[in-house]
Parts: sequence; C-alpha cells; structure tokens
Amino acid sequence: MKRLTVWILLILLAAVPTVYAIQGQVTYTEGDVTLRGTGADRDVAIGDALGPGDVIVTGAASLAIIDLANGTTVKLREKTTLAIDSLGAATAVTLRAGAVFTSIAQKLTGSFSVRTTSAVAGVRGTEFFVAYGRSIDAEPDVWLCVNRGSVEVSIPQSGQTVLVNEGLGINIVGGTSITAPHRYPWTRGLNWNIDPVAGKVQDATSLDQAYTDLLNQDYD
Amino acid sequence: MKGFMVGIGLVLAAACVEADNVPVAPTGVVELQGRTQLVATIGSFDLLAEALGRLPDAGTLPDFTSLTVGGYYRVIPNLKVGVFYRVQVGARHDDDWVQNSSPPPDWMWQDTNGRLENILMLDASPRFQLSFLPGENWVLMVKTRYLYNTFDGEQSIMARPELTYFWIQDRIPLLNVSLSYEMYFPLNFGDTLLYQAYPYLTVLWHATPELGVELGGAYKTTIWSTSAMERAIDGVVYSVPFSSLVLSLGLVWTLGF
Repeated sequence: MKRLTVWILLILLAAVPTVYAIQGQVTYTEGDVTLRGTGADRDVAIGDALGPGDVIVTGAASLAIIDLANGTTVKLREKTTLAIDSLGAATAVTLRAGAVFTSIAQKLTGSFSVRTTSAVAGVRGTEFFVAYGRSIDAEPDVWLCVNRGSVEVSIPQSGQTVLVNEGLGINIVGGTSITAPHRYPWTRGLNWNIDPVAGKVQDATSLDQAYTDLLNQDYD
Repeated sequence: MKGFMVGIGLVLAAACVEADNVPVAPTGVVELQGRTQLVATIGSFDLLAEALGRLPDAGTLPDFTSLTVGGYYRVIPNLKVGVFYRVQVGARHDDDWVQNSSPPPDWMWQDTNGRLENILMLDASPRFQLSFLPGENWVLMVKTRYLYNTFDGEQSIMARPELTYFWIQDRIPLLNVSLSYEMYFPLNFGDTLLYQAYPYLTVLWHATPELGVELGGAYKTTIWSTSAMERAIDGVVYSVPFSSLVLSLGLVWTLGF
C-alpha cells in the first residue's frame, strides 16, 4: 500500500506577530533521551538548544519535554522519535514513532504542524495528544484526542474534515480515514501535565486500551 | 445422559396427568423484564452491580426482582472467575406448590412476592476468540456458575455456552449479537437432570462507550418437580414443564478506571 504522508497541521487563529527566538530548547528529561543532530548521537541535557534537523529519541521509561519557542510545548512519551523540521513562523515536527502531547500557549506565533506517516490531517487546537496505534493492514493507526480547545482534522486528498472538540478524540484508521469523534474512555488516563514542578509528567497510558479486547467483555 | 432421558420421561408422563394436586403450566405466557447493570473496570477486576425486575403479569408468576453485586477477576486473558451475591424476592421453587390449609383443601402456588432470598454464586467463564470464522470478531464463552440459595439450601450449576459476534466500526464495538443456551442443573433438588433451560438471543447496541442498550429474547422452559408437601400428602410424583417467552430490555453502564 502506498505510504501516505500525514500532516497534522495546527494553525491558531489568535496569532500574535511577536517573533520569539527561533530555537527550541529541552526543558525536562527523564531516562534515556538522545539527540540525533548533524553530528554524532549524544545524550540530551536540560537546557540543550534544538534546531531544524534535530531528532529526539526517548528510550523505554523515558520522556522529554521540549519548548519550540513559538508558544508550543511538546512532551515526548517513552519510545518516541520526533524530528524537528522547522522552527519559527512555520514550526513543523515529524512524529516518527511513539506519542506526543502538545500544548499550545494562547499566544502562539505563526503555525505549527506535526507530520506522521499515515493519512494527511490538519488540526487546530490548544492541547492535544497524538500517538501511533497498532498497525493493521500494514499501516499504523494514528490516534488524536483533544484536552483543551478544539481541533480540526482533515485529509486533503479526500477532502474529509472532522472537527474534534474538547474531550473527544479521533482515529485515523490505517492512515486512510478519520473516524467520527468519540469520547474514548482510555483517554481519561492520559497525563496531560507538562510541568515537572507541578507534578509527575510521565504518561504510561497503554494504547492497547484503544482497541476492543474481545475477551474482556462481560454483560452479566 | 441417562438421567436426562429419565427426566424427559417424567416430564412426558406428567403431561398426561391432570389432577388438582399437580400444577398445571399456563400457556402463552410472556415475561417482560428489565435490567440495568453497572460495570466498573479497575485493572484486572470488574466490579458489577445489576438490578433486574419482571413486570407484573396478573398473577401468573410472582413479581420477581433481584439485585446482584460482585466482581470478576481476569486470571488469564481467556479466563475470568467471579464471586457474586444476589438478593431476590418473588422467586418460585418446587416446594412452593402447597395445599391450602383451610377447607376445602386446594393446591396452589404460595405467594412469594414478599419473600427475600439470598444467593451466593461462584463463576468461572473461559472464553476464546474464533478469528477463523468469517468476520473474525467471534468469541465463544462457556459461563459456568455455582449457585447456593441460603433460603432453602438449593444448589445448582448453571452452564451457558455463548457465541457472540462483535460488530466493530472504527476500532470500537458498535453492536454485539449473542446466541446462548443456558442450562440449570439442580444438585440437590428436583426430579430431573435439568431444572431450567433456554436458548436466547441478545443484541447489545453500544450507544456510547459507557452505555449499552440491550434487547433480548428467550424461550424458557422450567420443569416443576414434585413439591415436598405433595410428596408427603399424596405421594404423587410429577414433573411439569412450564414454558414462557421472555423479552427483556437492559441498560449496561461501563466505567473504566
């Protein structure tokens, strides 16, 4: 099957013309976090600067929180690979594996996009979660749910557009179609906190919960 | 198997007997019942509470209601075990066929509408996914349950093979269709191997991830065996099959933690 390119594009309406420093920064890490930049791979330390071309990889039971300088904060869960494509007015990252929480400040400058490897989607919102699910029929599912604000998800090739409101989520099934928004019970366990000072930031929610366990259904 | 055949024989024999001291099974009975169930899943545990009630049917049957609480523990993916407690009113047992003490003597079902009974239940439910079937989303479960009624000491085993198809849309279940055959084997009462048996069909629509709406239909057959009073007074032995159509509506609430 043709591998489609997925764009999760977030454009905030309330854009403010102020331009912050066009450089990202690592603000928090736990466990093994590696940076694959232009040089050799190296461990990431809090305060490290990030730029286009950098790829951040978290190991098992690890996480990283990065500030993309335009009002966007991204929390990488364990076993996640995230590439920074561009920073500035059109900040873009590519989620290659795993899952990220994204929190957009009210005063985001420019646009922000997250690329995944399945369908093409565009979102608009303030706090959302994007993750790869199981691969069924060779293409991975992409799950997206919104904790705050609203999200507009669309697939440009088909023209399908879905508005996802706060508390709801969608699934890009096998990268080909977007489901109607649902309240997924499993998303209640997500840890949206991105402030280590405020409390635990690690999220261990299993994406397996997103799939119906047919052997765990009892009705009497 | 031999006992079952004997039981069938007794049933057939009873069908030919019509006497005032032998209960006569009404025909064309339709039981309407409703239930609501709450399931809270916490890790490998499912906590469950169920309220069930049968609509009054003008005296043909007692007004049965029950409340069940308990839980399942998932031992392995293919097996759950459970412990439950049920309180019920309006159940009818074989020994409820009694003779009126005031003259003239008459036999009747005693009123059990207000009678409280407590049931303890142990449950083991192996289940297997039959992915090789067309549609893949098939599950075969064999629910087995031991029941002990503290009111009269009756013990029984329930066995229910159940085949369910899950219609899944966008990775979430939309509809379940189950075909079951439920059987109750009395351990210390009755004259037949089977006390009660019925096939039933259930359709569960997942209206939301938390709420399912269930419609069910069953053709239930209960075999009334000789009551203790009947055996003591007249020495008559009977087994009378009573059949009814059971239509049910249920609401299943599911919470995950």
